[in-house]
Amino acid sequence: MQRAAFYRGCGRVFLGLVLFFLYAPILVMALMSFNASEFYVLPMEFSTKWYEALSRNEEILASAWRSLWIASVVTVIATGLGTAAALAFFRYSFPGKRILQVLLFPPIAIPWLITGTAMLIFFFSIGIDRGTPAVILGHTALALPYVIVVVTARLATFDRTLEDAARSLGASSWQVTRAVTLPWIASGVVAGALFSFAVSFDQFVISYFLAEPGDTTLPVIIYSAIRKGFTPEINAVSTLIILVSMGIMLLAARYFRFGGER
Amino acid sequence: MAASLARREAFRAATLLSPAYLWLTLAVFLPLSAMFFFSFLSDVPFGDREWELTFANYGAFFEKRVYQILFWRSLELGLTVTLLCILIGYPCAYVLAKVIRGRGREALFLLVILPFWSNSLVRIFSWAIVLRGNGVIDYSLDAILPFEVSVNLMFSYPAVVIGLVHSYLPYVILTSYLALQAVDDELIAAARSLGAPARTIFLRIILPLSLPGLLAGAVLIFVPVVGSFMEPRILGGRAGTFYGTVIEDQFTAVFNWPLGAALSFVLLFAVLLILAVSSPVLKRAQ
Amino acid sequence: MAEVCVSDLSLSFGSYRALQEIDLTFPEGQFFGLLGPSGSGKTSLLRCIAGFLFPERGSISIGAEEVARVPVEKREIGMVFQSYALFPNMSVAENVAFGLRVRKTGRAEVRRRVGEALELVRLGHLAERRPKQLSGGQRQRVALARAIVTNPRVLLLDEPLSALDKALRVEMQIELKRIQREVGITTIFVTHDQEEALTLSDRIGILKEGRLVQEGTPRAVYAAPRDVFTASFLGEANIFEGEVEAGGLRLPSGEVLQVASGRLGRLIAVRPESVTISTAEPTQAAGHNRLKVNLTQRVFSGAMATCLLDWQGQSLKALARDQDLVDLPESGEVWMSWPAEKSIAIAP
Repeated sequence: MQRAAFYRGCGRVFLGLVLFFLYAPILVMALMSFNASEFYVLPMEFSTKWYEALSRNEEILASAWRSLWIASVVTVIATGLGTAAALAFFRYSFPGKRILQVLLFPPIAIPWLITGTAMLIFFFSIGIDRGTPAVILGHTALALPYVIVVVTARLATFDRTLEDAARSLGASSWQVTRAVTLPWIASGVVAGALFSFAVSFDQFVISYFLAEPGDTTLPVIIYSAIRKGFTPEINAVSTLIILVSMGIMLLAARYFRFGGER
Repeated sequence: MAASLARREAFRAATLLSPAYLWLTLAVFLPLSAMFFFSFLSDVPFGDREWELTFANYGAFFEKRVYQILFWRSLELGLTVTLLCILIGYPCAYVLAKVIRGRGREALFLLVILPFWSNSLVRIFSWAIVLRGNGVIDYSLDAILPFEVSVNLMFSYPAVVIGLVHSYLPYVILTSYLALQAVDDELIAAARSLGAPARTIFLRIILPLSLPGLLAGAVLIFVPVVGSFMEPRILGGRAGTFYGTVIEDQFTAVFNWPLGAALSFVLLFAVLLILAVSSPVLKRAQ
Repeated sequence: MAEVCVSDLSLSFGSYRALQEIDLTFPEGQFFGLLGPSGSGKTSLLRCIAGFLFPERGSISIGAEEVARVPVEKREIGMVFQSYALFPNMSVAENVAFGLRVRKTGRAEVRRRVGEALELVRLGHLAERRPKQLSGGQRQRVALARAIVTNPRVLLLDEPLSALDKALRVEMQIELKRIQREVGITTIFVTHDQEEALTLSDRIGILKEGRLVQEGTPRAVYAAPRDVFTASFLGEANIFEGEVEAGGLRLPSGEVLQVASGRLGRLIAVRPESVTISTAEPTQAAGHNRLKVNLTQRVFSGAMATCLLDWQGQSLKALARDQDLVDLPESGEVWMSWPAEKSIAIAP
């Protein structure tokens, strides 16, 4: 009995170490964004000057707004199209359904490097130059499968006879969807939307290949800054990004249990 | 009557599905096909450039040793990172699923997978700050140890491995946790009532039942790591030349798109092979 | 309120023939029970009448209107589902109001009719609750109120009581019958529970493998089952097979069983409750049957007891008041007897 307790203790300590490994670098980065020294000299001297510099950096601010704007558009499109597709998979059975569902995996499973360069080649060939429309096309395609998977998971808990009951009471197909089905899957749709937003807002690889160099998204700007030799200003903006994306995911967790038990 | 009903259902299904799948076709499937076509071209077919169909791009992969060396190096990187993620992630998932009880579990689980959904570029960047010479590590070691040390991991193979493990660890924790949680505690209780020691219970019941989840996580890590280029560029510096970075070069520096397409397809082929081999086990995971 | 008429109805799922040439009339204002084992097609028939399934042949009419091709939402029916299917995102009152809302009924009228419907099922005080906060029996009542509030032409019930425990089920049977009487609505309900069908129905129809086997009042069907399946599905029956003879059936062992009336076939059925068991040999008399059997077991169940009997390798059953059996041994040879008019002749 005591040995079991000892092992349990070890397990907890191990979990603690893993969490330390996951969060320590992020915390260091956040701390360093408040370090006055440009060369990260320790011990650090507290300063908010890099945040001030950031607030005057037109290039970063413009790209941040562009990233937010793109992510919003992607969220709206991907959530709409993805929810419709999930509903179709739930309601109807038709030949080829299984194949269509399997086709959702390539966008998730193929390395983004390949997907991104393939998009670059194709879009360029059909006359869509590098720029925001190309980025939105690409991001939405990557976010769609996530929405479909999340909404489908929520629909799996939906009692089909509720739709039958609504129809037996005289409701049309659209009335059934609006009054019965959508309220039930609402939490899944919201979670899917938040996923889409995160996929787009954090997306670097696709944007790297598809965005117009002078007119690009925040992660691409950060990447080039890192490559050029970074300053704590990048720490500042990176810290803000982490806060935003973790905030979104905490919100998503309220609507979608990752643990699967609902 | 039944036939027309089926047709009406098919029509409704098509109405709901076609926007999503047209989008995927335009942005994923057609681009992949176009890339496949490009991989057989001698030059990009734009403007008045001369081009013809050729196998030369694939030939380059097999003739030039450097591509093969880098290909194997990327596979090795993938294996190393995947293995480390399993060794760290599976026990971690086990602790979460079977040791920790009550409300704390969900919060801890969320805490573990939260970084996974935050910006990967930024997380790699955070390691650049931690690992640089005269940085946080040296400073903390100096504070603890009585003698001077200097650890400079930045721009090395280990730095790339650390960054990638950090990026992809939550994957294997997520899939293993879901699989482990699905193992009914009653099964374990039943095995104990039959007198099985803890080691046997783990090896004969818990591990086999959660193996599909573990493998799913492994595949989900291996595939993107083999194709990674941003992480090696930032953390590897000169030691960070891999297969992925060579492909990237073809598109952003050398502008040899056909060669880049061919190299991508070699990688894609390897990825599909791995997915195909592991798919029977992965199917059981669902 | 309307009569529902089904004629020559056939339905298949692929090569599986779920319903074959069903002809059946559900009289106006009556409670009609569709009874059969699982896979008999009773639920398919109900879903055809509701409009969830479309038959490939035959017609369905509600009142004077032919509805076989009308989709469910246009049929003006009310239906109660096995799982009740209450909308979890709506309160009890909103659930009941749903059918009225989609019909664009005025606000004041919705309130009045929802109130009336909830009073009818005696749930007026729970109008603002969520379905989750209700007991099984209460959910059942809400589902019923929701189904009848729109004044449908016919009420369809799909195993409405099967999710309830036994005591509650009996209570709900009485309640269901009261409400149906009060509203006077044509009601069709599906069940696999024969006792429930007998208790509730004005008429019953028995289905087997997609065909209608027999239809009539419960009493008539019980008293004169047309085949062995019906005889043993609706209640229990001891079946004897033999050769037809003047006034009776000669069994292979030589005894002749007398039958009072009916078209005699090779089979007769005898209900366990028609049988008397005694240790003393009953006197041989006209209009009376007797057999020497082996009592193998007595099963006590309160007021009644079942005797399991063996007659030349065939298992038989007798049901008697337990107090009538005090003189009986636990096992051994006994006599089993019944009057000739209790021999049910089954037509070939």
